[in-house]
Amino acid sequence: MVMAAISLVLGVRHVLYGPSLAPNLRRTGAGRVAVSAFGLTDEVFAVASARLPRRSPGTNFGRLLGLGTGAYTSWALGTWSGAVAGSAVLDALPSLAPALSFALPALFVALLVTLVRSAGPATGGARSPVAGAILVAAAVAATLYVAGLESWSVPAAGVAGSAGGLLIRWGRDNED
Amino acid sequence: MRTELLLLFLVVGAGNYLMRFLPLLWALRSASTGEGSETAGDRRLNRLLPYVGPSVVAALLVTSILPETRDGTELLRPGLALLPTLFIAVRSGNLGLTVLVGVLAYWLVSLPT
Repeated sequence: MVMAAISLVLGVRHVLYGPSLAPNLRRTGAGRVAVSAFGLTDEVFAVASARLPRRSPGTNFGRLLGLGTGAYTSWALGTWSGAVAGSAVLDALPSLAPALSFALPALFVALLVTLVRSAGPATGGARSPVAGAILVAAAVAATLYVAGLESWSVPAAGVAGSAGGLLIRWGRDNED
Repeated sequence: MRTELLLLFLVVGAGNYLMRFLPLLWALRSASTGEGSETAGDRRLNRLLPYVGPSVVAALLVTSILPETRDGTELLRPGLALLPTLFIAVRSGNLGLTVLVGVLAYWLVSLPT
């Protein structure tokens, strides 16, 4: 039961993903919601929150389902080809292994740039609240991670960063 | 032991799934029924949500870089590789190209000198 509790705490960050994407989605059947929730991983959420606000809410559910299916398929195919091909590629080029692990940070950098750029009417059209949210979130995530609270770092940073962004926006609105 | 393990998988799997599904369902339902009748709390929440995406992605970036620096020595390599990655991300705005340049940059800075 301790194991179960630990694994569940690791997943707490996912609670934020649905409500954060919901404003870009139209109401739809519970079945489609159930399927797209299955594919709502870190990577799918990150890409979706950068891309969906720029498209029409009417067709975004299809996009979210497509993203989830694509991510799941490539994950399964990647696992399968890794199991079949073994370490042939990495034996030939051993220095490539740590470099490949940098693909994920690089993807998050690209998505952050997109998110700052696409700061739309929902955030008052200004970039500084979004940039502030990012800085606060990064600081909170790093602090908790180093303190050994890895599983809380993403959800806590999500809440703290959002609060920071909102505060900066209020500050700006009150100046005018 | 085996049934215990299966039960563990079931509990963790169901819990993890419900943590994704229920908030999404709840948010979609309250958004479509609440027009005109939203409370002050709903309004505050709705103004907070646009910042959740950037905040979470920033946190994911930080936690995806830090595991390699656990021993406290190696912040230099990911730090150096981030510079060209950020440059290309800003210049091109292309996800695939940025990932490619990032991996290439990390590979170059971690080559034995």
